[in-house]
Amino acid sequence: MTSLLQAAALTLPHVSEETDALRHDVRAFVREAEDRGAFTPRCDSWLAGFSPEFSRELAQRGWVGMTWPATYGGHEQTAVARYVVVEELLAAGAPVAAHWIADRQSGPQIYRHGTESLKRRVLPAISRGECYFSLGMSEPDSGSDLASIRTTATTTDGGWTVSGTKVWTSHAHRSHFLTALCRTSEEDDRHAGLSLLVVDLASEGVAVRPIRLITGAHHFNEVVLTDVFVPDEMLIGQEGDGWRLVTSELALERSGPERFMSTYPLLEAFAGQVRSKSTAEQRAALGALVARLQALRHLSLVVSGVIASGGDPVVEAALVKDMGTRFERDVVETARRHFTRTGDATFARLIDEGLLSAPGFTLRGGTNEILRGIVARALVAP
Amino acid sequence: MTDDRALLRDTAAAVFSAWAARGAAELPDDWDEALWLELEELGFTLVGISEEAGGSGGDLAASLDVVRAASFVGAPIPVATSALIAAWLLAEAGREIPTGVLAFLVIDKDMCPTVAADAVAFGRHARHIVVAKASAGSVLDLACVDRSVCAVEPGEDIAGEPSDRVEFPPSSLDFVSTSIPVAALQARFAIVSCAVISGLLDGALASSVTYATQRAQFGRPISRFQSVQAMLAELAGYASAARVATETAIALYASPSWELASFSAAAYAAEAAGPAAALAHQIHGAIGFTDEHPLGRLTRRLWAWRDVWGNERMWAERLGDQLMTPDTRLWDALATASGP
Ligand SMILES: Cc1cc2nc3c(=O)[nH]c(=O)nc-3n(C[C@H](O)[C@H](O)[C@H](O)COP(=O)(O)OP(=O)(O)OC[C@H]3O[C@@H](n4cnc5c(N)ncnc54)[C@H](O)[C@@H]3O)c2cc1C
Repeated sequence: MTSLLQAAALTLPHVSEETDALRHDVRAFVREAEDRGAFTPRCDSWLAGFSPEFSRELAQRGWVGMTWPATYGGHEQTAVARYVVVEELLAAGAPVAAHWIADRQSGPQIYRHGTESLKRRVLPAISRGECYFSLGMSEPDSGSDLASIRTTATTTDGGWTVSGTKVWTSHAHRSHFLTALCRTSEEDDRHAGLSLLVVDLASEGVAVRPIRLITGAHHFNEVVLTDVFVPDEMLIGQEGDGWRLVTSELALERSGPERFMSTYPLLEAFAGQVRSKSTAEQRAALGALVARLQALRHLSLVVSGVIASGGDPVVEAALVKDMGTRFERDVVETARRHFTRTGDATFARLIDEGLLSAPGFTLRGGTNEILRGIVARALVAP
Repeated sequence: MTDDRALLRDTAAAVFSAWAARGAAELPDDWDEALWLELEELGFTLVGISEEAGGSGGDLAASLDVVRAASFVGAPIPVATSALIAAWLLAEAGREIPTGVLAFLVIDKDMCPTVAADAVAFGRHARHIVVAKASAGSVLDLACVDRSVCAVEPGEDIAGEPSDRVEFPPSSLDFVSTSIPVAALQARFAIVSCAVISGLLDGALASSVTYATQRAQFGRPISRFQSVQAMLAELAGYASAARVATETAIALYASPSWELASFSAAAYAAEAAGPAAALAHQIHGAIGFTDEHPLGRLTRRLWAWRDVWGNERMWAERLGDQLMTPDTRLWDALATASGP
């Protein structure tokens, strides 16, 4: 059984005065940026709020690529410090989608397992807020069953030739790179023979087509790769490491505050409504949501502490994401039940944004059904 | 976690698991005097009270660890109310702490001096009853009454534990004023009920995991069925979050965020108790619904404790009330400096 699921052991990470000062700085900056109109707070800002200008501004302040070494443009900060920055940005509904995947996932993955030339090529650019990544996992016939992917990479002189189709690829039309999970050999064990390659989206043979969301927005893409040449240096880890690499980044992908704060800006607006004209019932509804949010924040902090100390809490991360994404949806339902839409246009807009993004919460990054299976299997493992 | 804390946890876990190992049918539902005496011997009935005040030392974390360990097995002893509420109040007021079980009661400020009170937990087993009432200025007045002068009419709560009607003779309630804020008692209620529920949830989760791996149907352990797995995962979520909420509140004890953290923990735990009990019963099938199985001790206590000093709705409202400061952002109250 893993630590968080055990009755006894549990350590809250230490929050120091430095993190307090950092929190204060980030908060002051985002409020100032909001006041000068640099952004309008919105729900799901980490996926829908794409703003290269804002990403660069954050980077100038040292808040992108925080955890890796200065040699690669990083700031050598702890995971807890990054946690504080990230939750302040999400609380503000700030547009952080452009650099989000690179900062959270692809950058750390490349830092740990990438070749030296790949690290030098992308990490400093990520830290400057100028280099964005998309994730190339899902395919038309492979969703939850990721190991069934069919995109192939075959060796060629100096690198790989990649062919196949990726779908639901967030922001591929404006990212610079795609980390593509590819089959590099046929093995009896279907988790073997997979490799992780970084594809430059400007390469010849890459075709990116929009797949519109229910709102008509262009977020998803289909990425068709036809004999795309990928140099050797773009392989992350070793050939055949792909499965291990994508599963080990799941803790990073699933435990962060974006898994329960996608609708936080609406919760803030709901609190504003409750404050201005409330009944006891409405104050209780707010209190109940806040109690859940705080429990989730502290769970997530515990997980980030485990990551910081070198652990790989995949199971705990699944637990946080399952609970957190259900919370995100409950925020929307509670807010809309307690106040009419008339009167406050911002409140109404945030409800609509919440509702229209909610179907994705419990799907993206592994569906809740799959997550619960992961948690339960860890619980009953002998 | 400090070594001291780990040692205390291990000792408490050993005592209570030895007690539970006697088997569901052998264990009393309503009171176990031998267990209480054993705990007294170990100093567990006055843990968290300083030695100068007559207690056995240890901090809030230590005392809640004992409470959680007792709750993990649903032990029928009033350590939470006796040690963490009644004895704590006396210690805070600088009063002597008498030996034996302490019962506890809050009364309405107009009810004095002659009162009869319902639902005094473990009233009949108490040697003394600590009675608190709010006085003007939002501090507490306390009386410590020898139980033998009171008339006690037995009753029981939903867990089958003593919940008695106590009649105090005129003039037995000799209130002395204290400087303990009413709010401090509220926050204390919150953290204690959260800790109790957290221990019960951990117990219900452990029992569910064990049962699901041992019980076979259709030729395999029921833990292999995806719908059972989903229930286990959901239950684990409630238990982990309640545990983290308790720890967070402990970490913030005496800080400016303490009240908010303890109300938040209580609101979460009281809300989790009902659905978690339902999940645990569903996983256990019919056997969990019988007195041959220990699950019932846990779920009956979950149903009792979520209503003890306020239910989920009341805690949530108290929490909401704390968040009504005009012209501030909610976020500023939640993610505070120096708080986790
Ligand atoms: C907003 C959003 C952004 C995304 N961005 C990206 C991206 O950038 N890159 C990328 O690669 N992918 C992305 N995805 C895709 C995401 O990873 C998949 O949606 C997810 O893995 C599920 O796959 P699927 O949609 O094919 O559903 P399916 O796997 O077909 O599942 C459909 C339903 O069946 C259930 N199901 C499937 N298998 C099981 C099982 N074994 N047990 C129980 N239930 C099961 C699922 O839980 C679900 O309810 C994104 C998705 C969303 C919604």
